[in-house]
Amino acid sequence: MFPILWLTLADNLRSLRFQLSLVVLLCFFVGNGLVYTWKGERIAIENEQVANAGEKVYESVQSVSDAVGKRYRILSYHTGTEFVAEAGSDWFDYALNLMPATQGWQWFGSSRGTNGWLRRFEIVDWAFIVRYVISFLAIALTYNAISGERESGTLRLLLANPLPRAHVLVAKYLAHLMCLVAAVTVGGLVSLLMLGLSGTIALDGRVAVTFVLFLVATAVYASVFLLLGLAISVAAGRSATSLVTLILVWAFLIVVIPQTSRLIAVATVDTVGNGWDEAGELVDQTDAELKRAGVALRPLEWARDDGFDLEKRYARRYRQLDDATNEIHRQSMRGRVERYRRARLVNSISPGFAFQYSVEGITANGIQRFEHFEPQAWGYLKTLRRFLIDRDEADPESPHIHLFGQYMSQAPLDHRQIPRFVEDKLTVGESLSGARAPMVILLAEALAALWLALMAFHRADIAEAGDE
Amino acid sequence: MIRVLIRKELLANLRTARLGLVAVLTVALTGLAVGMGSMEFSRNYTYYESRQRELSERRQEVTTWSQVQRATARVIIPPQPLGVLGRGLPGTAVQGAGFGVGRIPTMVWIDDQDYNRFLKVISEIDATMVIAVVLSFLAVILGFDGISGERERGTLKLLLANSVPRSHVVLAKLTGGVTSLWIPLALSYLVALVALLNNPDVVLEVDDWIRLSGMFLLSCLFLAQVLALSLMVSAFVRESSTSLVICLFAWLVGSVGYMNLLPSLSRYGVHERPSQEFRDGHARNREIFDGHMDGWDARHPAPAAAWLADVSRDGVRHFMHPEALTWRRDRREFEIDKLLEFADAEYKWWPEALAEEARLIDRWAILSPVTNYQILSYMLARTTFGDAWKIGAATRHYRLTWIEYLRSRGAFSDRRWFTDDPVGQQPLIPDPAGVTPGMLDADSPFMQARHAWADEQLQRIDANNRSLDLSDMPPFTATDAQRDLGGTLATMLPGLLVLLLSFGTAVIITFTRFNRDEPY
Repeated sequence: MFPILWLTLADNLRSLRFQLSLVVLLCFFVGNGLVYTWKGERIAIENEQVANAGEKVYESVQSVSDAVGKRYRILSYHTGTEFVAEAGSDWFDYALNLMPATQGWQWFGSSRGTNGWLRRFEIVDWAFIVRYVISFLAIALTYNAISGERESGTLRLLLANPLPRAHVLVAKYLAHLMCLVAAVTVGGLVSLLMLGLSGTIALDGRVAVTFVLFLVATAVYASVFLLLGLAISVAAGRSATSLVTLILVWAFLIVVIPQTSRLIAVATVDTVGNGWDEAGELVDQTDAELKRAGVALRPLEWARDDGFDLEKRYARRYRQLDDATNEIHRQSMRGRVERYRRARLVNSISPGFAFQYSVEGITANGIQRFEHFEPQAWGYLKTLRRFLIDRDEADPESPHIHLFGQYMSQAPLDHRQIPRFVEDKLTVGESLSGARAPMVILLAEALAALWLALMAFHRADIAEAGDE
Repeated sequence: MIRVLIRKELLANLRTARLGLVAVLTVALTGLAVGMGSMEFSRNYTYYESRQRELSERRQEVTTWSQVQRATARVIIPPQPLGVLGRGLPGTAVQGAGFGVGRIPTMVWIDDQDYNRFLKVISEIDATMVIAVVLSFLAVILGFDGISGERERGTLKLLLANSVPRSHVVLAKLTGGVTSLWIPLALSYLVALVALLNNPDVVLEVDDWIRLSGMFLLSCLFLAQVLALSLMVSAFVRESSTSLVICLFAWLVGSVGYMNLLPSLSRYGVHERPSQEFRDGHARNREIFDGHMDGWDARHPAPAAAWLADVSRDGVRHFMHPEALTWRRDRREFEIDKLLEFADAEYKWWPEALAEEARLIDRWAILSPVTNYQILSYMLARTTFGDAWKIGAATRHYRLTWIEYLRSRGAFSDRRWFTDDPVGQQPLIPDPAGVTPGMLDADSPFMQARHAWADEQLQRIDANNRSLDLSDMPPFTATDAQRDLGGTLATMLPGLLVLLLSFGTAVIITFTRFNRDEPY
């Protein structure tokens, strides 16, 4: 078995296609290093400015009454491993703009200034490179692994050895796998070196662990296409047929399925709309209702006469409305996530995306990070409101109409006491357990490919058709 | 003789399984893409109609000039039927732009009905993509062993022994190959046509038919180009297997690779201002504007509360005192001037870099035949960034016309900006000078009596009598915002030239190389 392995390895290393593969892969990884160096620089500047601007809002707070009407902006953290899997870090709603006042609006948005016009395109992260290029290279390396030997007549010699056929298969598979994983390792190291030297990332243990896990995922993913390539290379009579079949399968799995998923998701999952219209309507209704009832907010000195009776009624009604509109926005967000999840489900059929989502699991990024962030962001709104209400209760001078700035405590408030948003980061363990399904699918696909290859090998003809 | 050669090539291609396999896959994929795109088009079209209806209803309801902005300052472009074939940036989505006295639109928005940031990470398939990836691969497969294969099999000697001019061999290879590629291409377009014509929402104008045939011709040219390029490789390389490897890698890098690398590079190769600077700039402009208004208010003190009292319904003031009206009108006139200044200042802050990046994609696409073909198709379908930019520019132009119209109707200095009351309407407080502050409390008997009077008056208002006549407002025509055929062709010129030149060069190089070569 080992002689075959070494032989295939040596053949590979000498072959034009492997050398070309290495060059192409390196180009992509260098591109990755460049893009993320630029990007890292930009994000660093942006993060600092955004953080400063955010802190300024807190610093400008004078009193509870003042704090209620301010607009705060909380952001999710920067993972630092985006170059491995971008996973929507630019696009997903990683920022919440919030106002504690009952009549304030809360809305999610991107945490970065991103160019919406470029949404059609993928970005060169490692997951992308491996997803497209490694699968393609796996095919390019194996399409004539057996059919080529059959055409050149060496297959007879090979199988004349007293070796089980499965060993031949495994030896060839391992040799190709070693080549590919080595190539990715080299490419990844180049990219890491570029990013490390430019100061974009710190080359620490966490990056090393991510790298190793990424290589494991790459190996499983490459296996799917290597084994598929070997299987078809045995089954197909000629190398050309084998290649055409394989590339078509590749195009279907890697290019086509992911491109249809969005349309399928939009067609099959109904959403409640963007939420703003519905919420706006509810506000209009409530306003009309309050107006009919003659309930309105009055200047402080007028309201004091009857003990803020109207204001209390107004506030009670508006708190209900606030709960209702927030629920609408949550529902609408759930609908959008649901649609994305459906598209993801369709994508997961493709080994490429099973791999992609596994890597998102490894780097603790992607939709599971968002789903971790969203409740925390809403939770922070609650915390902030709770804090302001408690502060207001402590002031005997205040009319205590909660979360209506003008009727709350005017006593000076030290801004350092206001709780800041501290996100509990998604751990790799949690994120991996969230990404179980794609990992299982990927493994299952690798095993299925192995089974296919074994079956094909056992039934294979040694001689070329018509070669008696 | 050349006819025999072409026939031979055609038969050789048609007999193999690869052509059939690819044809089936291409037609199935195009069917899928166009079918789903067409469904999406219908959905978007219904949405477009509802938006249009909403807008014209709002227009009918306008009774004061201040409401005109909400009702008319919006531009909507219907979904592009050819976006089904070449999705480009907007696909079949409704595009539009909103503007105002104080707002210059920068780019058009894509009106998605339900805006979903999560789906942004997922790209979509279209017929152009299928041709660019799948059919171009077939072209590579047909071309890679065109010459080296014949040489290896020894058939080249036989062929040339028949006193066939060498140029004819290459020509036959090209013609035969393109004809074979033409079959799956024509079938896909047929499927696309059937899907489009069966959709009652799709109305194809003469212009669209020309564009559609342009897309078809462009696809033929593109496939011929890829075929010629791979023939060129096969003329240079001795072994077919080497030629295949080179062709395949070139295809990978040129299609999927470049398609995805390009935006990343263009994105981060352009200096882009951090988003916070935009927010700060906006805040600064707002401050300047507010400063102007505060200054005006200091110079022109408002009349006392008794003069300002009126009744506000749906953003329209009623029963204003003439003095309050004069004061408000002067303030408004000043505000309009400052708003126009504010809009200009804001426009300078707009993310120019974002547009530059997106435009770079259109420009740099020329470097790879595959992306060049895609962008050229999108130009024909009017779905490139440049087309979106054109809509934005047309909207900016329309904004000026719109402001000019409002000015000419005297809207900014007219009482009708604030109120639709008839001239000489009795104010809420007819004699403000004789009112004491206590009488102004909301629950004072005097105010309650006045409000009861106002309510009674309002009951009798017939809104139809009061609606503003906007029939002479210059309309925005969607066709002005879109490139006509000439404009499209002009933008396509560089890309087309590159396509034709590289095709021609590949053919010439193949000829010369092959002419000098030994047949074995």
